Amino acid sequence: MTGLPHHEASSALAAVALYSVPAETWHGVRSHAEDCAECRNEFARFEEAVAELATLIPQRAMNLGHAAGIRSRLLMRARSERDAISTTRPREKPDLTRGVASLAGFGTRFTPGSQRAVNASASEPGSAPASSRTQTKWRPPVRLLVVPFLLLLGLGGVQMGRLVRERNLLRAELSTRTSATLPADAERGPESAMHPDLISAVAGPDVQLLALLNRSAQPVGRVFWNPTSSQWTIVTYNLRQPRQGRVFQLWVTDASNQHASLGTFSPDPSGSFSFQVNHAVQDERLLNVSITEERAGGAEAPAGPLIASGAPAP
Amino acid sequence: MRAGPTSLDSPDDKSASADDEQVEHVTQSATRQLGDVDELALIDRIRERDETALGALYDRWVRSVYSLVFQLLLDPDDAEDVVEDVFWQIWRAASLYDPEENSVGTWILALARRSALERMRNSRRARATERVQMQYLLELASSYAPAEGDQHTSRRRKLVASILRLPPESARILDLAYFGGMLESEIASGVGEEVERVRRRAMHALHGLRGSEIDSEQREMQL
Repeated sequence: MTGLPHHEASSALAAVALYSVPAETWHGVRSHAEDCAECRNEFARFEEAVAELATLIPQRAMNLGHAAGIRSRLLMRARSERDAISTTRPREKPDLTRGVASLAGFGTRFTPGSQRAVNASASEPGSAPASSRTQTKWRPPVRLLVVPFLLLLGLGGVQMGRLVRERNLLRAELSTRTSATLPADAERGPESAMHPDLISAVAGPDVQLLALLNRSAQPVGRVFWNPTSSQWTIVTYNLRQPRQGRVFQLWVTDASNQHASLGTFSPDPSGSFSFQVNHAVQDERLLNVSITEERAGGAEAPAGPLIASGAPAP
Repeated sequence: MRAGPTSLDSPDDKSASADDEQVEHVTQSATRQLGDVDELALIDRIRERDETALGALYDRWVRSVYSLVFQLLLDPDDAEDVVEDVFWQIWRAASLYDPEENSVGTWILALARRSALERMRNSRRARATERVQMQYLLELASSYAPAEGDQHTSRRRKLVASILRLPPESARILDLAYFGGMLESEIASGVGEEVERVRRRAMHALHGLRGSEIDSEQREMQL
């Protein structure tokens, strides 16, 4: 339960459902209702009643052109956001390493076999329109040279596009990291300061990558752990805000089920947060990394609701 | 385990008329029977970052969202901005939607209303005081006429009857909060009552809409 007394939260439920209270009251009551089944059920019923009122409102059609424009903009934004996430989604370690290597201007990019197959089939000479095949007279030796050239050009273009996309995303991510607020946990002190060499922190040969997933299995962050240097780099995105009077707390749990706090934090309004910290895991045997929601100031051990977690690859 | 929410029926998703001033009651248009299951599937697909599902949800709800937002803001440009913002919020926050808590429709309309009220409060606070005398809710309820083919006529009749049964003071509070977008403190000073009493009236009004019977003794205590 949160600090708001039950009777106070309960008396404000209808006003909160009508959104006729100041923001702090709204958050306070919502926060109380999350832990109080009675208020939560009552609030859900009130919200249904409020929503039902909308069905009596005269329907007004939006200007067709404007409606189509908004739809188109939304889908375009959604598509580019999805592409951005899927490009950076940690599917396999080498991908990220290569991306960082390409950002720094060194390293090698390799086209996955599946991608080569797609590109090759798309560039199949046989896929050209029949008319162009019949109209153009190719001399066999020239054709032999032109087809591989076009194939290489196509592959190069695809690769260049992916490289630029990845570079831009990593740049954006790095700039977020450098501008982020440091963890509220004062005990972390200088350890929590940003490491100047972020690239080695996220792409060193020993670095392990863990995906943080929320309770709906949606990715909400990544953890880069270097067991050798005991350095942790944590990046979150799409995280909700902690409830009023609460903070998020990051935990490392080792194989003997011992929890260690890496600090407390609150993400920025977009749900992003990043920080670095040093912490040695006993025998380098990591069970998982988790984020819980705790009272302001943090907890000695995880006690609040689980927000996200991630485990190392087996 | 909590009981699932009552499903708020999906709005008609027929194409909007070219005439942007065309007004019709949702209850007068043929309501397509779309269960919450369909919409949950759309939300699941949005969680999986399928933008075509966002498009489908937009097609289905844009008219209702726009109507609600326009009714609050009374400005087409502002309303369109809010509509875009609402659907973007749906895309970004779909993973936070809890089907055990609310139906998809309730969630969308609550998002829309909150967004519209935020805009109203940030930019046009003066308007709230203009609405102290409004009786829009009672007008809506009084002018209700069941539409041919509306499969939810009986539910709407019950809603209208509940509104008309509300004590005038409670209906007024509901009007000012819902359509006027006023804060409880503004309502209290507007109607000359204490905030606590405004809260109790709001609670009584919403209980009334839900059909919850409160016995007269309890009502006396509440009001």
